[in-house]
Amino acid sequence: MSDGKGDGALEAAQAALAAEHAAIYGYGVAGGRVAAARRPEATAAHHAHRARRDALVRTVRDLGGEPVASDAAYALPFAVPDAAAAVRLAAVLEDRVAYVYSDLVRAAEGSLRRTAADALREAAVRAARWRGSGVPFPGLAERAGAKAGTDTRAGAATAH
Amino acid sequence: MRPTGTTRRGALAATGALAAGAVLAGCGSDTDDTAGTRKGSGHGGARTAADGTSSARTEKALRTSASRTTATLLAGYEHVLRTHPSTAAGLTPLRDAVRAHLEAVSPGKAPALGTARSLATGPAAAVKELAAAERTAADAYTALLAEAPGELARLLASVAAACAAHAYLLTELAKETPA
Repeated sequence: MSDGKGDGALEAAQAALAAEHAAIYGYGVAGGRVAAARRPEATAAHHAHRARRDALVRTVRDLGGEPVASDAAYALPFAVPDAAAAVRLAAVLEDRVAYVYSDLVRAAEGSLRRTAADALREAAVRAARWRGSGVPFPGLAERAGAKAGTDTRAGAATAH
Repeated sequence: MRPTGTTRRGALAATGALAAGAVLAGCGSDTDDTAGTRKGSGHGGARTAADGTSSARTEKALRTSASRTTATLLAGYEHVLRTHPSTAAGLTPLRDAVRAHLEAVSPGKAPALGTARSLATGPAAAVKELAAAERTAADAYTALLAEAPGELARLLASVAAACAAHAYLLTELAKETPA
């Protein structure tokens, strides 16, 4: 019960790695289109995902797997013609990463589980930064149906 | 329905007693339906059955601990909402999410009661206090998930992530809130 060699840990780590590849590609697109004021945020997120990717490559090898490679290009979930769409894309990238890390938490034990939980937490905070609101259960697709967002920013505008 | 928000000492004592009772009950064979289903599966013999019972007990104890954390947090929201109604628009969606967390992590039907302790005098300080409480809660869930069975660990990781996001949102909200 030390380093997460539970059933499915390798598979979940590979899925997380694939999601990080996609996020890095996505931030390459989003980073070029967000407003200048938010560019440092996009750059920081880009770097964070690269670091997670590199760590996952090592994890997959440690678990006895061959790390999945990134695709040359990824289909974006929607067109990203402007800064607003770039912000929406960044938030979606974080959502998707969160989904796979929650599965890795379930499949892994020990330090790998903790690492996955930390990555999930970071992704949820970044998604909330991009959107100005959160979701009740980040990373849990089965609980996303309620769509009960937690938008404090819209609320703050009317709170006096 | 308003399961929280009390500041009475009696209620706090009762919560403590109930929580302790829940943990102790896990040692018996009365309400361990999870263990029952696990025992029924597979043919690993006595050892499997023992592990199943033990993990069910762990799950119940972890859920009890998590729900106490969440109930305290929820009580904090209720307290700030009552004391500073001007924060309602910003806080209500977050409070609702915390309420959903409580439902998700609670070990049984009975909602846990929490007690709010606050030193803040103005709304901005109160919101900042909630941000700190969310961060503390996120750390508490993260610590709990190490020992949890897979599915519960996944839930606790999600709730921890939500709390961390709340902490960020509340910190931003505090900046926009009049002192």
